Amino acid sequence: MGLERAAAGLWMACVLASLLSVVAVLVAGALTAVRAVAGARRRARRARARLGQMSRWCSASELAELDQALDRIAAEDRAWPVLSVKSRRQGPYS
Amino acid sequence: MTTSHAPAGAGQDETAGPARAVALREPVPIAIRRRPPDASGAAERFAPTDPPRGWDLARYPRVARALRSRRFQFLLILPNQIIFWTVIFVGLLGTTIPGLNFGTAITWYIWFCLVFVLMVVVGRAWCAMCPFGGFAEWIQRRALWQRTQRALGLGLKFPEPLARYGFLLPVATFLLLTWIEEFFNIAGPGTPSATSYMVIGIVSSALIFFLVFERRTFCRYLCPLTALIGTVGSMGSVAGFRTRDRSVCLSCQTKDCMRGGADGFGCPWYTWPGSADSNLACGLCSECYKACPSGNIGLYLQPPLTSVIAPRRRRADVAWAIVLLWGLVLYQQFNATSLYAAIDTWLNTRLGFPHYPDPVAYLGLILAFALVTAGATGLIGRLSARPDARLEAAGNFLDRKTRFRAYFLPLAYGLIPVVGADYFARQLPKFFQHAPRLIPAVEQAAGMAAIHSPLYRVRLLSDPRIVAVQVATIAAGTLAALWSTWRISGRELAAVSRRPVVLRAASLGLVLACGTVAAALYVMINAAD
Repeated sequence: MGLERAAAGLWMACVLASLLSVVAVLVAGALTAVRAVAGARRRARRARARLGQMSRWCSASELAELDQALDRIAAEDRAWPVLSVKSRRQGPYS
Repeated sequence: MTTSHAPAGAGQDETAGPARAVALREPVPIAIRRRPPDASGAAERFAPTDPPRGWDLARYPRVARALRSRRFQFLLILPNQIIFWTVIFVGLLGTTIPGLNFGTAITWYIWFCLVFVLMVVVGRAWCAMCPFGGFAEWIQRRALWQRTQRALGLGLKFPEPLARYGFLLPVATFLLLTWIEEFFNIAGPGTPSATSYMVIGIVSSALIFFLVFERRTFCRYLCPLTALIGTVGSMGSVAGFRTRDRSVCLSCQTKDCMRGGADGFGCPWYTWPGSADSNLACGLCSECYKACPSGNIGLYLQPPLTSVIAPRRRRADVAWAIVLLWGLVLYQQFNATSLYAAIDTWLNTRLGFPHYPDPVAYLGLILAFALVTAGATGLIGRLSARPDARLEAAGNFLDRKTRFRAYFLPLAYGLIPVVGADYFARQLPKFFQHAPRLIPAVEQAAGMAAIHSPLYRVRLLSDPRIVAVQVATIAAGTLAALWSTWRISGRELAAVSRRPVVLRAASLGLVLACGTVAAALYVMINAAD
């Protein structure tokens, strides 16, 4: 009888631990979500700050267009051959 | 003849040497693989429904590592599996006092409330950790978490003519389960063993369907809760697993997210991230995330109500599911009134049915509530549609377009928040009156005599306060529904209506009427559970 009660008690402890783990997962998920949204907002704020005064007279869609244009320009820059830079750094005889 | 199907420029490598035979054997698949991805209109179509790019939880290395792990979903399911098998065994073998039995206490006082909170906040979080589908899936895959290649069972596809009715099938199973639950007074809660038999019934049906059909056919098309979780869950702030760059999905030649790859199974819910525009059918299982060879899937958050307001492609099955679920929850309120008791008794006497709930009253009232709501949207369409607007197009149940549907579909989506709030409010009396009983129930299951525990009689709130919380819940749901309907009617219906202002006023009036009826019924039934 004592063993039976101990087994039942142990099993219910497992059940309680399961319940707590579900709650812990949900809380951890909620915290991560809050962190993700806050991080995204912070990044957006920084990006706006980088554009300086422009955010005062540009709408969000205009800013997004500007962002896209800047991304495109950066991508084109990256696509240029690095040979000229390399050759300048290494000198004509290397 | 066969070579004439090959696309221009497609035969460069296939025409040379032994590869030629392969190219000639399957010209159409090769042509499909080689054609440039058709992305016309994709940006416009998906822009309103795409979650903000920065709201990707998988950006965090820890989250990414957890999602990448094959043990992720297993570890989500395991605790619930332990709890639900305990519910079954304690229900059958434990005390027969419902309030002291762990099985009934956790199922009816805590679990239902928790599931509704999860739905409203997260969406299909419950589906990711569901012990019913989880258990059956372990058996179907013959593994707890490993990626296996051969499934157990027949692996049949769900018949297309049935699949076309989408959420209407699970609404039918939900209505059936609710009727059984009311007939046997399972959720009262009545005898604890009844709760166990109900859970065994759900697990067994899930197992049978998992062994007959492929993937999570049961969860997508038949689970009694899937329509409710899908529709109410679309209010949630988790957009689900979505593509990071749609053009990568469009040009992907392997579609591992759908077919399965080395690290992940093909989507068990038949949802392609490349075209997903809501969280309606994302079970949050993370298989697409694991399977994608391009790392192009993220777990996204979205502002609340996005999946209610933003989708442009409204589904008829979802709209009908919403009004039928609305009919059911109104029935569950109305059945606590003395008027309903009189109707039920009268019908039972006439039809020779033993006791509550009379099936004619049950189905009749649910259908009546649903049809009145649908009829109101139809009336709004009739009075406001522009005569020159072309709103008709032939098609099957999913594709057909009519003037009624042009108004009914979007307006039904707008009602989701008030329907969700009503279901949640309906669970509150049990929670506030009896939730503390869980502790003595745990003590009782652990072998201690807990009948004299002071917690057994503790209530969290008095009846008038419960009613106040219920009315406040309905008010919050109604406000969310008003906002959703305002946005939806302005975006989708104003252009086809003669007087957009009148249309919007009528649509908001409908929402307000629904909220008022629900709140008034809660006041009338005075916290009845």
